[in-house]
Amino acid sequence: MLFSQRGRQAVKLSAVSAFLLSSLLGSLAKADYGLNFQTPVTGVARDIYDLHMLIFWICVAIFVGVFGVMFYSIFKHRKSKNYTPATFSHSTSVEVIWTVIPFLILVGMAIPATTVLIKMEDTTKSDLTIKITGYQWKWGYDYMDGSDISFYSTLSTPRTQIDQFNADTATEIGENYLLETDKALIVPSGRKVRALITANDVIHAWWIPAFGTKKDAIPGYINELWFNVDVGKEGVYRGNCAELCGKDHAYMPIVVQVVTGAEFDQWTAGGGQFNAQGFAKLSDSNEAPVVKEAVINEAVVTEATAAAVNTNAPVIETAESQGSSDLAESVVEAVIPAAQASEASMQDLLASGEKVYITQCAACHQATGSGMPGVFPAITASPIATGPTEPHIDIVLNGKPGTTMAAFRSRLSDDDLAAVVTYQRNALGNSVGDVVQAADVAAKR
Amino acid sequence: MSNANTAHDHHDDHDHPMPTGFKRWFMSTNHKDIGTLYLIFSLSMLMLGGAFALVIRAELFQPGLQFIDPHFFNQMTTVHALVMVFGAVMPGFVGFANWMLPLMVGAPDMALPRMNNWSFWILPFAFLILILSFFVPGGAPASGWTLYAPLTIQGGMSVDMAIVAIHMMGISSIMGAINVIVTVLNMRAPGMTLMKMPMFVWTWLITAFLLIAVMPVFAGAVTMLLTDRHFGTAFFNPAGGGDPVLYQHIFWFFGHPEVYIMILPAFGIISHIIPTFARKPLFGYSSMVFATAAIAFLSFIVWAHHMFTVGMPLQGELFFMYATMLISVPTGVKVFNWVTTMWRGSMTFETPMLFSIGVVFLFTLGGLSGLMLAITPADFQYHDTYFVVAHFHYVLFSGAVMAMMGGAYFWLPKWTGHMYNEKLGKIHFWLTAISFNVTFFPQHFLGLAGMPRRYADYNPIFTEFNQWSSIGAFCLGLSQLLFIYIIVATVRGGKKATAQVWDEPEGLEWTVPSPAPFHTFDTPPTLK
Amino acid sequence: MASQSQDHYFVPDASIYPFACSIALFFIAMGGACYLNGFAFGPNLMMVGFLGMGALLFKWFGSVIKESPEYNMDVDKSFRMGMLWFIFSEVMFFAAFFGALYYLRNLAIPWLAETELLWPGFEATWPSSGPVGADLVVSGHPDATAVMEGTKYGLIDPLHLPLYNTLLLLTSSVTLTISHHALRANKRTSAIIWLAATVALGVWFLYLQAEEYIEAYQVLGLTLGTGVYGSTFFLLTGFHGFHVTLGAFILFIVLLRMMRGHFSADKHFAFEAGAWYWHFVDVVWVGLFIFVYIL
Ligand code: HEA
Ligand code: HEA
Ligand code: HEC
Ligand code: CUA
Ligand SMILES: [Cu+2]
Repeated sequence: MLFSQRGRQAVKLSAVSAFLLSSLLGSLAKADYGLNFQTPVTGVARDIYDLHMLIFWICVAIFVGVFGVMFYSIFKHRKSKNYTPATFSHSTSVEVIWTVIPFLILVGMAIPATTVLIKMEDTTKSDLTIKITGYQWKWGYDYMDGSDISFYSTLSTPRTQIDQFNADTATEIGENYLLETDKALIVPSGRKVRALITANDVIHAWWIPAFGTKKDAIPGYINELWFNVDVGKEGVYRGNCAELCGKDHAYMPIVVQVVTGAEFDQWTAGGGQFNAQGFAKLSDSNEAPVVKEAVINEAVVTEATAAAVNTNAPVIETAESQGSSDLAESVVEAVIPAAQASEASMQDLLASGEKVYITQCAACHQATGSGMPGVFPAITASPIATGPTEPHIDIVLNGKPGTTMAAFRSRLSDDDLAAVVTYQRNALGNSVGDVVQAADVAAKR
Repeated sequence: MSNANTAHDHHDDHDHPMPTGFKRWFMSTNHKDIGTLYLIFSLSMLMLGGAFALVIRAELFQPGLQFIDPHFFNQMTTVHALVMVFGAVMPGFVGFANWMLPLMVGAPDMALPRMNNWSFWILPFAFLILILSFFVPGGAPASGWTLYAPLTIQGGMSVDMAIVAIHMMGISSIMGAINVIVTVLNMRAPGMTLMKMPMFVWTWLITAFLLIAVMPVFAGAVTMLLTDRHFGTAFFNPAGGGDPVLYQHIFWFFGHPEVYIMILPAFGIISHIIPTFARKPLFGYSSMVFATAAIAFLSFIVWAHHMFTVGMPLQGELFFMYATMLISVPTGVKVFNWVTTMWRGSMTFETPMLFSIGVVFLFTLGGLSGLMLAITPADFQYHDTYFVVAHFHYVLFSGAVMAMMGGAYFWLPKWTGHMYNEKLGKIHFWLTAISFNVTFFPQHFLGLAGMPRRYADYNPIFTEFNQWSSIGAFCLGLSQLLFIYIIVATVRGGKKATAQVWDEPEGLEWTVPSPAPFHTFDTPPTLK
Repeated sequence: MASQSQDHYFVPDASIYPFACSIALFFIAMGGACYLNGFAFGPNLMMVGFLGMGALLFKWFGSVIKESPEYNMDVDKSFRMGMLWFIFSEVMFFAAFFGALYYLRNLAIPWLAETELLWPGFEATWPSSGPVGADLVVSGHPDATAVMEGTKYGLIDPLHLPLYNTLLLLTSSVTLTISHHALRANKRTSAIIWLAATVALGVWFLYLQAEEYIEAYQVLGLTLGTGVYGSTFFLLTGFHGFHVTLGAFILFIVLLRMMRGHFSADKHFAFEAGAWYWHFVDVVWVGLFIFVYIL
């Protein structure tokens, strides 16, 4: 009944497909950021890019071939043109042909793919090793080859940009929204960097598109990847956590600053300082004032050995106590006298506690302390945070296995722990009135 | 063949009056009624899962969080997928199987009718549990439909609810699959040899085999999850010698065959529609059968292509890459056979045909992006980005779901006795096809440019494509309201359909009157 | 199908059991989830579900038995095929756990041992309870205090209870076959006696397994929480034991029916289905004995 329409429909169908195809081709021809892979800056990334384009064009060719035939048939062999149907229904020879040819095409794709894969997986002969640890929801970096630099990297996009629920309090979204961190990973160009990747709680994945690297960070196991950024491609590269790791999966970006080899050596020699933007500070190391921070960092290094997996088993606690964090303790003890000498005032503790709270705890317990019902308990009026100090210090030090509440014993110094506990007890709507000192925390370690 | 018509007239010696009301719909042992129940259930789940998808798309319309927090976003993603996969697509195909298999093989009913009804009725309760999980502390499961450990080990009560719901869905699918296999193997009309079976019957036979082989494995995986969560076992806990990746291996050993479970019956459906509207027999029937079997076989040895980034040994990665690529060959055979069936046919383009052409075209697009994913080094870049999301919506929505829509138009006259409104059907097709592409085509670009999946929020460079995608999704959703309208209108009335409905379609189902009487083939028909 | 006989394929009347059983299943599942999450009503809900399910299945099977004279050979064949495919699904369920055992033992543990950085000093051995699990005492009884503190565990001696159990199950397969032959030869009393013996052997097996578990928990300190060894050991043997229970129950029902004079020499599908199931359980045990206990 709708014969007259059929022609039009076929035209529409082909118009749509032509549109789709041409938009695809057109956009890839431009190959801008935003349509295709980011511009590769390592050899492997370039290989992947080329491989990707090769298989893409093969697929386009197959697609055009197959559907060229189909649409030809749709236009020509239609009842409205009184085309009488043929009756053939099988042919062994064509079946064989269209089994063998695709197979050969596949072999043609598999060869370059195998070559690239073998190259990617070869992590030997590296110049530098970095250990990368995924946490909910931040990254920890430890430089392994004796330089002992170690730090965490957290999202630095302000909460006001993220929370757009209420237009009055929200601020405008910035250019590097969700792709900026308080500290960048600093790596040299022209050297083969090997990364050992693991995680502390759930699976994450460390991904820098421009480097052509992506590997899962799996608790209890270590994965390896490597990259070697071309000389001349120094700059800042950004990536993401690419494995669902819970609520803030979208909020644990990766920022890598690539510097020249010389700059890198200078940076490591200076103890790995950062400027306010979170990039490498390449000034004279003698002037570096941040002794405390350096200590925190060293405490973190030892986590390489502690690395208790905060998943579900009760057995984990044994690991914590099995003395693998001796080093951490000795490092921390070295600074304790200084802390004990002057008991911190409530004001000081609250001030530094707030900072710690916002960076370490607010992702879960929320900036207001309200938590998220059923997922993260509220700190406000929490029985633990308003009860005796012992269990409070205990849960923050040791976490709670099987939940997202992580052990902060090796992530934070006694000072910071004391500060944040004091803060939780006397802010966020709580007013217990007592003060927890670094010594109290040290005593519970 | 025409004895089929009379068959139902003199079956009165058997006391099967058509039941009504509660007895008909809740206590049924009739494959047609149970099929109808399945189809209605599937359609409702499509709406529900689609509504969740629209929440996702609404939040992703702009960067920043406008409507929901990331935790709820993850719940939406998870439950959207579980509802679509286990609630919309799988039961949908079982509905088609129930309606059509006995008609196609000339059997009076499914082999095990009471078990058939049980398979169905487990489902609403399973999904009730899944939906109830929104209301327990912490909300619904938020770990993605794959329920990876250790994230699920952290989760709350909802994870346990999802696990028991999955057990129930598994029981339902296994019983359904046993029923299909037994019906096909044991109840074919005399003279219908295996190689004379209609394609839909073949694809379902193989699908049923896949189901029985992999659903228990999935049950095993979630059982280990449950004991890790509550009974101190350490399957996925490295401290006790376990490995989180073990979960992924077991899951994907199920998961990959599962995706073919969702596509093979679709292949079957369009293998009926295309020859009907090309007025030409299906080209290469036996190679179609072998290709289907080859796909099913290969589907058991490719699972780790979902896990290239977990750090497998190189040999493993190579093996799974090659095996995965191989699947393109039998799938290609199917595509070529469909195209050749159209070649020099005498084609008309009623709604079922439009959907089938849409399926062949768009599924192949999704299949080719799947082939790109199979290339391991490149997959390191594609993995867990929107490129993957685009891939599987092309094969799932424009493969499986659109094939079901085509099948629904194709057999609706047989089911209801009325012709659907052809004009509205065509409008539905075009709205669906176009808005589908607007929704998912841009996601390829998003993925290539680096937008990870399962993200509640993103950098502004991705805004434009996300907006296209969200607009498309809402149009796609609205278009489905038209689908519902057409179905309801056809059930209620419309032009009377003949027994044949279309121009000389092939198959026993077209020898019984439209609507198909309550009982058919009480005495088996004889094949010419 | 050429074999389709002239008479009707039996299509049962409308039945409430499937729907009602689904509700019972819902109670079991919901009850289980609630129970695991500390809701006091959980176990009760589960109990209601189990009782309901039991009663319903009893009635359901009752009606099948009553109808069975109406079944023609095709229906019989459908039942047989259905049972076989069901057993195949059970095989796949066990395959998941055997696969896990293989993976953990041959891949995961060696990988963990290679990961010096995270697990210094951990060595790949089997049995293993993982890097932070308890120490293994080669076998026999470790000293009691270490067990109490959960720092040591021992192994079940495969040549003791497990070996008896192997013999029990193998014998039970033989007795079952004898019973089947007797039934086919219409020697009813003999069939009943041998079937009763089979059930008794099954129960004896379960009794010994219970003893083994008690020994594992109380003397050897081997528990579900003993790392991956404990996990795979208890889940594999536990699910097997559960299947033995089910199989013995089925055979017990068959026995009761046989005593009531059901079944004829050539028509006794329930007996055969139970027997297939029993043999399947037997084969799984042999796998367990080799891969879990001996190797
Ligand atoms: C119906 C469902 C369905 C189907 C049919 C397929 C089909 C295929 N899929 Fe897909 N896939 C999914 C559903 C499906 N997939 C889902 C749901 C996921 C994500 C799961 C998750 O993580 O949540 C996924 C993810 C997924 C991945 C993992 C991506 C990642 O996470 O990194 C890979 C990788 O190899 C892959 C590959 C393939 C391949 C090679 C096919 C092949 O079968 C395609 C074969 C078809 C063709 C190739 C086109 C037709 C052929 C020709 C015209 C012949 C000529 C061609 C050549 C010679 C090349 N799929
Ligand atoms: C068969 C399976 C299937 C189907 C049909 C769909 C259909 C759709 N999917 Fe789905 N999707 C999956 C399977 C499927 N999806 C899977 C497996 C995942 C992975 C999950 C994971 O990562 O774990 C996923 C993930 C997924 C994502 C990624 C989420 C993320 O990574 O965070 C997105 C985002 O756009 C999306 C969108 C859509 C849309 C817009 C549709 C549309 O096609 C839907 C169209 C239909 C409707 C919109 C319904 C129409 C009805 C109405 C409009 C009426 C409204 C009714 C009421 C209000 C009651 N899906
Ligand atoms: C990744 C998420 C996460 C982060 C980050 C986090 N917590 Fe928690 N926290 C939790 C969860 C989940 C619990 C609940 C554990 C349970 O089930 O008892 C919890 C519980 C607590 C409790 C006990 C509350 C109660 O009443 O039960 C305190 C106190 C606490 N956390 C303090 C902190 C401090 C201090 C920090 C930062 C230094 C912090 N948390 C960081 C997730 C987190
Ligand atoms: Cu970390 Cu996602
Ligand atoms: Cu797959």
